[in-house]
Parts: sequence; C-alpha cells; structure tokens
Amino acid sequence: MQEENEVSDSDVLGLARECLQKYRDEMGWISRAEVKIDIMEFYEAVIYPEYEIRLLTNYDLGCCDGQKILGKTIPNEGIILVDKSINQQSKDPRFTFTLGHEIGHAILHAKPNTIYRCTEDSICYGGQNLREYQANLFAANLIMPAKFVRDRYVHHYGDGPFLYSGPGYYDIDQIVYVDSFGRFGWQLARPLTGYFSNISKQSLAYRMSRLGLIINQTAESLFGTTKLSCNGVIS
Amino acid sequence: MNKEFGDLVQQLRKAKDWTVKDFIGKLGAKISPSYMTKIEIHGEIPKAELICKMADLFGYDPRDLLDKAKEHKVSSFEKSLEEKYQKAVGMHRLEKDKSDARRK
Repeated sequence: MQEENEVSDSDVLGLARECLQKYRDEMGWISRAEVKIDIMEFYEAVIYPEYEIRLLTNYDLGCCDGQKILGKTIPNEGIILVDKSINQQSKDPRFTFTLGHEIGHAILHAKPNTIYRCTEDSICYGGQNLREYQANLFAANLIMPAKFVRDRYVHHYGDGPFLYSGPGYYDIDQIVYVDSFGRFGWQLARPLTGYFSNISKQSLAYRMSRLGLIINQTAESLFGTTKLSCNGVIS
Repeated sequence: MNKEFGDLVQQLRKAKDWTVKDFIGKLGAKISPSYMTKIEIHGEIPKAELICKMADLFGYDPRDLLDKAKEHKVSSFEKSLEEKYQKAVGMHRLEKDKSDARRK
C-alpha cells in the first residue's frame, strides 16, 4: 500500500525501530531481560524531548459516526489528545495502543491543516485507510516489537510455535483445558504480558499469532464472533 | 492539572529557541529528558536549586519563578485535598445509606 508522497511500510518499521533504540538508550537497558516497554515512559523519554509533541488527557473528545473518539492528533500544532475515559489513571489497555497510534500519526503524517480523529474501529482495524493502517503498524511495532516478543516467547516457552487444533487439553506451563482459540491465545499471552506495560492479553495473543508463534489449525477466530479490541496489526 | 509552571518553563525555553535537549545540556545538571517532560507537561515541580538555575539561564527573576512554582504546588495540593475530601464524603454517604437500608 503506497500512495504518492506517503511514507512506505518499511519507513514506518524503520522509524519504530529507531524510536525503540532511543528509548532503550535513554533507559540504559543493556540486555533484553531488562526491557519493559511503557508507552508513557517512552513518550516522556523520547517523543516530547525529540518532537515536542504535547499530550493532553483530560478532555472528552466526543464521538464520530456513532463511535467514541479515543484519540486525536493535530500534527501542525504538535498536540496529541487521548480521551479522558481511557487515560493512564484508568489503567485501560486501550490507552497504550491509542497513544502509540496517535504518536504514529504525529511523527509520520504531519500534513498541513490535517486533524486525525481516531475511534476504536480505526485504531483496532485500520481498514482501507493508509494512514490509519500505518499508525497501527507503527504502534504495534513500538509497543510489541517483533524481535522482543519472539525473544520473550522463546525464553518462556522455547523454540517452536504452539498449535491450536480445537477445544481440548494443552500443555501450556501446565495442563489446561481451553475451549476456544481466543482462550488458547489468552493462556499463552498471560505470562508474557508482564514484560509490557498495560497491554491486554488479547492484543499480545493477536501479535503472537501474526508473528507465527501461535498457529491456528481451525476456522475459529482469536476474537470469536464478538468485536473486541485487537490492538495489533500484521507486521 | 495545573501546569502553569511547566507552561512558563516551556515558554521561556522556546523564547530562547532551545530544544529540550539543548536546555538540559545548558542546565549542566544531571537531568533526564523524561524529567524535563514531567516538568513541562506533567506538572512536576523541581527543587529550588534547579528552578534558580533555570531562571539564570532564561534571564528571568528567580524569585518570580520560585513564586510561580510555589503557587502551582499549593494549588495542586489544595486540589488534591479537595478531591480526597469529596471522596471521603461520598464514601461516608454510601456507608450511611447501606446502614439505613439494613435497619429498615
């Protein structure tokens, strides 16, 4: 997906890697074991000092097309707003991804006289909109970087993906019964979410699935038939 | 959140055309970029010594900057106290309603 004058997917991934490296340098982490990615810490250590983008979290951003606006970016004015209903104090995992997504817009899509208003649909699913897709790509690679997710997975579970072949008993740290692919992913993600700050097990399971660490041999969806926050995208 | 002190620091810094990193370098103190973000954006009030250093660099009266910081701190404290008071009142009312309901 590339339009004229737009950044490419590899530019997005490169920028996410660059941001993470700066974050790592600021925090003084040497080994991967020390890493714990916190989006607010990242904003304070890298985004504001580098780009001087202000973050406001005490506003009600209203609705758009019947959906609550979770995040808003005004790149020209260097402002990101996250709706007060999901601010950091609420410990809502949507705060993490929404902020990551809006940071993506702020540093990738600084077009004159443009305001980005993002609802749960645009943040989760992106759709056909290139800029929403790229903001999601940036956020996923920032919050759950592929190498780090794989490293923590291997450290905890060893090499080789987990295969889901339908409801039944699986050996995940201990023998557990899982009744759905969603539950399977949740069980696998649970011990790893501690390496990340304020992300949902669902979002990490989705990421692990996209990275090929969890393989689904059935037609079940990770999210069943309910439209739930996924907060993850294909890398 | 009252961020007037942080807003003023940011305003004075930008008037000098300094980035956050420039400013940290000029301060000469061991301040992390995160801490400067906390000051300018999240309402953190640094120690008086650092405030005076900032004022010197800006060519701003240190007493005025210290007063601003004090005003901000007092206002934040009062707001926090009010919030705790309202929460306590709310909890008291809840307990009283439960107790009244049990008696009935």
